[in-house]
Amino acid sequence: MDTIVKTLLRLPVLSATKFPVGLQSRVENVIRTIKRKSTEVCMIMICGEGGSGKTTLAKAIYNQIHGRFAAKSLIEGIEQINEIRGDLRLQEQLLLDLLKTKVEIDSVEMGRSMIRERLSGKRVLIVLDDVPRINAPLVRECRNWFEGGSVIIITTRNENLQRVYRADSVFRVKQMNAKESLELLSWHAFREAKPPEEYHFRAKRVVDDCRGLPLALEVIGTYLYERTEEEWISVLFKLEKIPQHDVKQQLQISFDGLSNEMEKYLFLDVCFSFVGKGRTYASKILNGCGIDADSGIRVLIERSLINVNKNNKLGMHPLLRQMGREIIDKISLEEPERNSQLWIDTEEEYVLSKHTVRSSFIYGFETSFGSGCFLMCNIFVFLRSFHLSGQESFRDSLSQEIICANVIL
Amino acid sequence: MEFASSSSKLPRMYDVLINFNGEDIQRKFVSHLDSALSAVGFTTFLHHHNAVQSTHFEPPILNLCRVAIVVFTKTYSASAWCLHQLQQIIQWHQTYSRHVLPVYYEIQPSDVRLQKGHFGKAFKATAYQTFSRKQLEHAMSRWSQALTKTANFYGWDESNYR
Repeated sequence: MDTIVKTLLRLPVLSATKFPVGLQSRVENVIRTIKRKSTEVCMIMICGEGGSGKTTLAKAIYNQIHGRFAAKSLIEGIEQINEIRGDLRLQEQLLLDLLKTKVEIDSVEMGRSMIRERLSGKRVLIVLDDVPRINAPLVRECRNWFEGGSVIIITTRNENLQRVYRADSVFRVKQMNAKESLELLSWHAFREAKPPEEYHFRAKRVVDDCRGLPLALEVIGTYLYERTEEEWISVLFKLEKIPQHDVKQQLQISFDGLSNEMEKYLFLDVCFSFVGKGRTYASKILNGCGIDADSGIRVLIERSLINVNKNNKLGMHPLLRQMGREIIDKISLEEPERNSQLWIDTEEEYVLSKHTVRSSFIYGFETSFGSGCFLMCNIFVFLRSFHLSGQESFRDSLSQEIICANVIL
Repeated sequence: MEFASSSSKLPRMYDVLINFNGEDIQRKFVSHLDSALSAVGFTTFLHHHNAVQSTHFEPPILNLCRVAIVVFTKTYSASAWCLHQLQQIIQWHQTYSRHVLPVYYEIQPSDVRLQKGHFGKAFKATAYQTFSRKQLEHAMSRWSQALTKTANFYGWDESNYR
């Protein structure tokens, strides 16, 4: 029984992505290189534009080979970790995964020496996903400390990192060819490997517009699932008007097509406040605002707009998150009184200008939970900042539900 | 305040399909496998005669799964339904290069591969019952090929467990 479960866990198709079109050959390609360098520390870099499948490829490789390593770590979405404490977080996470002990690190220097002391001579597998530029010296040094046979895989959008990290091999994730693209789109849109005859022509045109980018194919494909012919035509019409390199605008077709405001605001809420937070935690807060968050989140997951990882944490593709932020920017420009620019500064603290807080608070309070959850969510952020600063009188005037939510915060 | 929410339209996806025959094996083995898989986060579809009859699946259930486990028991070949399904599983494997993993429960892999012993006898009996004389030879060879193909995949003998 255990061996069955273990074998299944090792199958790359099972966890990396829903429809692994063309994945296996790419995985094997990289693994061949790793095998060739099995006596030294092997650093591999996977580059490609956003949405081209770097993370999926890295995860699939990890799944396939991690059984052979005692110490291993896969850290996703590094770019989204806050920059100031990002290096520390990264070091802590590495030590936690590799040594299975929780450590607190006060400075990068301390983390560096800890990694050196505790991990020297170990054979490790490390996957660092979506690295902007963090900690190049650390990663470079790591190579000298680890035992031969160790593997470090880095995925990044920034091709220049190749020189910084001195990677042994660089894999550029190639765009999917027309055949693969059509298959991936069909899986998402029809749940079949090929589109039905009558849709063949339209599907091909969508594929052309997506330029072999798996993320666009997935998001647009799931959006087109069980759509009528008219809806297909309207999507094609929209796609044609979008410049081919503007992936975010292509992705926005799916956002615009959400069936009601609640779902749209929910997406923005997740984008702003709940990436990396537990799904139950997010639903609790949002349910407290009278929103049917559970079903809303389900819809967003089905549309591939957000995802949930193995630890039940909400996540979002960086490009989609960027898209969400741009939408919010636009909203706040068009409706300055709402001023919804509550930027998240670090993972836990929110930066709020006093004016912003007051206006959004009053606005939200006056409309009395009537104007969509996005604002409500800001109020929680706001409440929390008050809570932290000790001014609790505001809370008394709010409904029980909201106080409950505030307690959760 | 209530928001209307669009109901979810997409059919569910399953990670693992478990194909088997009979309640006996479901109790003895499949249910345990099912909970072991669920414990690590896989979604499963228990693929047996009644499960599929009771609901209409569109698109076919196999297209919603990513890996198929076939549990071979002594009674597997007594079910024409299972043998039909196996044929489709193999086809699905060939078209989409999906993984098919056989599990043997109290049966020798070679009995399945070569349709020998009890398993072989039951296999022939089922074929004679299911097909007319005209179809028999052709249909039986297709079933037989599916069995041999499946048994040639990497699999497990689970007889010694539990």
